[in-house]
Amino acid sequence: MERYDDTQIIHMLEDAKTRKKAFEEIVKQYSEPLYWKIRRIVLVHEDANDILQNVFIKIWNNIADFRSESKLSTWLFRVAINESIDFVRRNKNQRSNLLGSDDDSLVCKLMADEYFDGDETEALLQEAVSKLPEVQRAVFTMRYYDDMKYSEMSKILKTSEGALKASYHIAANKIADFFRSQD
Amino acid sequence: MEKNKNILAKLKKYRNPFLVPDNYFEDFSKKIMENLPADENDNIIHLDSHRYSLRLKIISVAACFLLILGGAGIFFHSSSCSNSKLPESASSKAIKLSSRDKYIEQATDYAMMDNQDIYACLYDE
Repeated sequence: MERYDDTQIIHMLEDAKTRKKAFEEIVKQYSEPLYWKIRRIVLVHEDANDILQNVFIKIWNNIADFRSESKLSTWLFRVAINESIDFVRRNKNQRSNLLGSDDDSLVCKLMADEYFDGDETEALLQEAVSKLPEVQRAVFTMRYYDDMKYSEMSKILKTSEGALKASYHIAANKIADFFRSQD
Repeated sequence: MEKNKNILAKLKKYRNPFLVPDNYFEDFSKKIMENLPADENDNIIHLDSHRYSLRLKIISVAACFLLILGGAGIFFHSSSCSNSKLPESASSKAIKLSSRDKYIEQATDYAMMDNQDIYACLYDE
């Protein structure tokens, strides 16, 4: 099966006749990387699935407005990260199904989640990440799991590289403090 | 700083502890494409029209509420004004009552009219 690169997809997006095909390529190629970006921020599969659907609806609705001033992947990641941050903000007080239906800790809930395959230390890391403010959470996960460059992150989040570096270091310190408090 | 790095390094960096259901990504792509409208503008119209009708409903409810409030306000204002005035004479009260009764009678007559009566009435006029 033919695989189109971003330049070809952008070219196809410009023509209304090939726009749907271009969108199909975007869904095929970017569902997985977008999903993992979202999942590491929201932690729960069901939430990540809902957000991913919303992300593609937004992309479809605004696809005709896409200008190739930024990279296709940067635009897609920006939509996904912003949706995830909005979700975390909205659910801060009324936490999602898994995160706060009763008094159990997030670690216990993750360990019982059929879609979590980590050990207790990894569950503790997720709990520490969940305690970070939304943007720090996004910065930390992008840097820690994807090893994303600050320059790329800067384009996605429209924030200076210096601010992002500071944000990551603050997040890492908070996580280290969290682990020390567990000892 | 070094201590923090060690703690994070211990956490099996880059390991992804999350799982997804079997064939999730294949099924997801199919589902998204199957539910896509024929034209991207369709989707925008549906969403916008839904938002528009919702906004219209909210505005209508708010307008009705304001109308009721305003009506009640005017009614209470006028009744309090009339109460504060000097007592009306018996004759003026009687005229008011009789005109109100007349109005009620007329309204009842209109309400009891059937279609043929209305046509006849209009024809007469």
